[in-house]
Amino acid sequence: MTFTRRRVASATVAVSMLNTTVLLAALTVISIVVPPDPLAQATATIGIVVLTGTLLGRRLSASVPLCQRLVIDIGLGFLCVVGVGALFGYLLPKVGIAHPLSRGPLLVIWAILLVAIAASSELRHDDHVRKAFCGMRRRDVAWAAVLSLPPILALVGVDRIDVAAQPQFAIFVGVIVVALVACAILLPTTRYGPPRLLLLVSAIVTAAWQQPFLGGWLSGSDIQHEYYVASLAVQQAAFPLHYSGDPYGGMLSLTVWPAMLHAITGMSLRDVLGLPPSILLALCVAVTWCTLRERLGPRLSAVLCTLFIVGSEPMLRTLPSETRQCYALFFFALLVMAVTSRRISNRTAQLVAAAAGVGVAVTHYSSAYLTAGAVVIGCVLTLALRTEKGARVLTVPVTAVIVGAAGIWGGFIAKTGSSLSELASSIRADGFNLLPSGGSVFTRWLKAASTSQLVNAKVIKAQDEHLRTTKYGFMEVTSRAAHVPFVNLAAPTAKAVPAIGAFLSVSGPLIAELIVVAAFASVVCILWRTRVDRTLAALLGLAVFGLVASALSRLSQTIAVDFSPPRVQVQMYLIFVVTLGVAIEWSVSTSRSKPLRVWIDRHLQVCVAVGAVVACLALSTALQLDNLVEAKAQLPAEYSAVGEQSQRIPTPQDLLAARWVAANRTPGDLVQADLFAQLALWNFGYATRHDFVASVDPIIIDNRSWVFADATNVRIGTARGGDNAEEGVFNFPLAYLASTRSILYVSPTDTVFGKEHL
Amino acid sequence: MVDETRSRDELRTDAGHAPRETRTRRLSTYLAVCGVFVLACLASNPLLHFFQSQSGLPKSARTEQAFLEDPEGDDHGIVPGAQVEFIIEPGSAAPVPWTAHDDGALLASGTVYGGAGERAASISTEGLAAGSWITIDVAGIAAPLREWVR
Repeated sequence: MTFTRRRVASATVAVSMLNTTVLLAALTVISIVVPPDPLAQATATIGIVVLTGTLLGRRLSASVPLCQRLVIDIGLGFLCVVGVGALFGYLLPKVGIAHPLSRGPLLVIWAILLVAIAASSELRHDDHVRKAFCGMRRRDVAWAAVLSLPPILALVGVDRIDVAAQPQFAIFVGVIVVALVACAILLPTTRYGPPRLLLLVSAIVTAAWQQPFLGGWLSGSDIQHEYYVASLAVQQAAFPLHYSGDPYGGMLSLTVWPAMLHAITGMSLRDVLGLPPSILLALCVAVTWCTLRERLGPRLSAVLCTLFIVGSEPMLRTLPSETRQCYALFFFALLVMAVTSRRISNRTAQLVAAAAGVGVAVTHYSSAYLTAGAVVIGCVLTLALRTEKGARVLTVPVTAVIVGAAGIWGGFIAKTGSSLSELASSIRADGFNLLPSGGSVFTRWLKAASTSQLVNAKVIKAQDEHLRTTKYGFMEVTSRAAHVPFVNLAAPTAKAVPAIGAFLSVSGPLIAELIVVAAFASVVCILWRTRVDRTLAALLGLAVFGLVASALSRLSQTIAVDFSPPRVQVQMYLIFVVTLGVAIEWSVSTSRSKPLRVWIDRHLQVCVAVGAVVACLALSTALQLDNLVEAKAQLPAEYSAVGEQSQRIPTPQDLLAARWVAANRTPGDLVQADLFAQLALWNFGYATRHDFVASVDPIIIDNRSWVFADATNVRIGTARGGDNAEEGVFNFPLAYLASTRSILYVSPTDTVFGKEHL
Repeated sequence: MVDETRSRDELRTDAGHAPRETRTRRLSTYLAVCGVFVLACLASNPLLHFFQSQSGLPKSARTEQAFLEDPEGDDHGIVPGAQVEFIIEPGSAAPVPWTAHDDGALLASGTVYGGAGERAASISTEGLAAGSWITIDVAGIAAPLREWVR
């Protein structure tokens, strides 16, 4: 025993003598060189980000807490990595290296950079990696290792749904997510207990990883087109891309980053799009946690993080399939932290804010516009309210960098001008189209400008008849098409559990609306407090812009098409969670009501328990676990192998068929598929093609088009029509198509029909 | 002035560098950590596959695909007498039989070998009347391939 202890102690001393920077650089180089495997891929990715990030952030004061230091370093590291990629991707083709973002050139570039970092660290006795992690306890590392298991269980749960159609394990994992959050709020503070932040981080990664790999490929809509752009980046291995379809081609998160990861680590594009973005979402929680913990206790911070981030449905169920925004949100959270933090020096905060603004600009264009707008208002209020110069973060130069980055990158590289002009012309043509749905004002507010309502197929039929005479007036359609039955269909829904289902169906929306009210109240509170504390002017500016942007995207159908409410909500909630934290801190610190304080002290445990219950309810709603017991609720794809949502997910067989269509179609001919079958085709660039129509309603199927039928169309017999605002389900016209067209491609799940012959 | 009684190592130590013994120990520790890491990397893939096989999850099976070799090459189907060529990709090692009909009458049949890769087959349409459908049924696939004879 003594011998073993001595051996362990000796090994510990030996490791403590090492230069951690050199060691990490060595391990990263090895990871890049050895055959691709999960451990090497993770090490290489973490290594290049941490080494560059800690190098850039080594000047950060030791007074900055560990967590803040790490998230800033990670942000800087990511920015540095994609910056290096973009720079070499742009410059090297000019000196004859045509594909600089392919494995060979990147291997050389990164080997040189890593050796230089290691040599510099050794020669200057500057172990910046060790400094960055200074303060991290062994038990934190141990808990991090333990809490990395739930995300792996999430992937197993997805596998069981995909392969065996058994959702029980995924439901169990969903319950684990709720339990993790409950622990983060309820557990007493003990020396050896799990860190609350790690519990929250584990919860959000677990929840987010339940989605991307559903169906055996990638689930979600935007992620399919992101895959196409990323695959172009891998093929071209240079930057900027030869692609003018849309601004996706100018986003480093979809071009340089996936191409580099794929080339350096050997990670498949599916993994690059499915796994790292959720980690960035978790880092959003970490950043916000750091911001809140400067002002609030751990439990209240955990409650607020859960209500606004971890328990936010778009965060868990929309963003994992819109990967570019995950990166942008992380940088936006950093920006909010820089504006609000008391512990980061003013100079550092300005640099972090500027870097974060640039990070948003190069990763997601619409987030960049929202960021630029918020920063401008923040700067204006900072100047108007005369915040003392030593406390200004959003100064004119910082604001100019952020707005300039958004404008220059968006204007010249991502070329987002057409998107903005489309929005402007839509507003000119249709107005703001406020609260478009029917019913009372309250109902209309609740429905808001939803971008995906499920409606009766009769509504879709009426829209299609209108489209046939307008947008699709050019089509040649056989007269028989008008006689094909168009029947509304509904996928299976949940079996209600009477009392619980009814309670959950009310509590979820109620909590969501209470969060909106609390956010609004907190902004008013900040407005009031800014009279005496001018340092809050910048935060007030962000929050005021956030309120206006949220209201417009929620109320206006026209704006919602381009700036969808859930995605705006996610970004703006990163502001509101901080404004609420500041407001609570101020309310508590200035409260003169002694009885109130005494009451809170006496009933603290009850308050914590209530907070935990509310947070867990919000999380259950966000996870859509409550849909399993609510009457007529759609079965969530994450927890059910059947139902409306699972029918929308492309499968690997769909991908094979779509690839065949892309390779064999006659140039210039039209291709048609239903609203969700088109997702498989998006992987091959069909999201931006003009010779593609997303409809299989017989009255708008052109005689000269190919029709792609996916697994849902062929095996289940349902099809989906409509647009972003309204979707309807009807029977797929399989018999009609089979009787009049050649069948060019078949598999057990997919069919491709040729042109009309009769 | 250099003190010649002191060794090079002592001089380096005086200059702020670690003594040779420490340097050697550090180097060997670096090498040991890197060696263990390389072994762990090389083991991680087989370990992952082992745990996947132990979890009882069958891998998603490959399935058959079939497609016309020259889809819609001649804008509206084929003329009588032309060859209909098609490709079958078997989903397993088992051979895949196929049959071709012309409006119900057996036109041809055959079997392609199983295993990975594409297998080509063709049908002669000599003597067929215009205005009919050639239907090719491939075992394992519910929907047939169909070609219009114009």
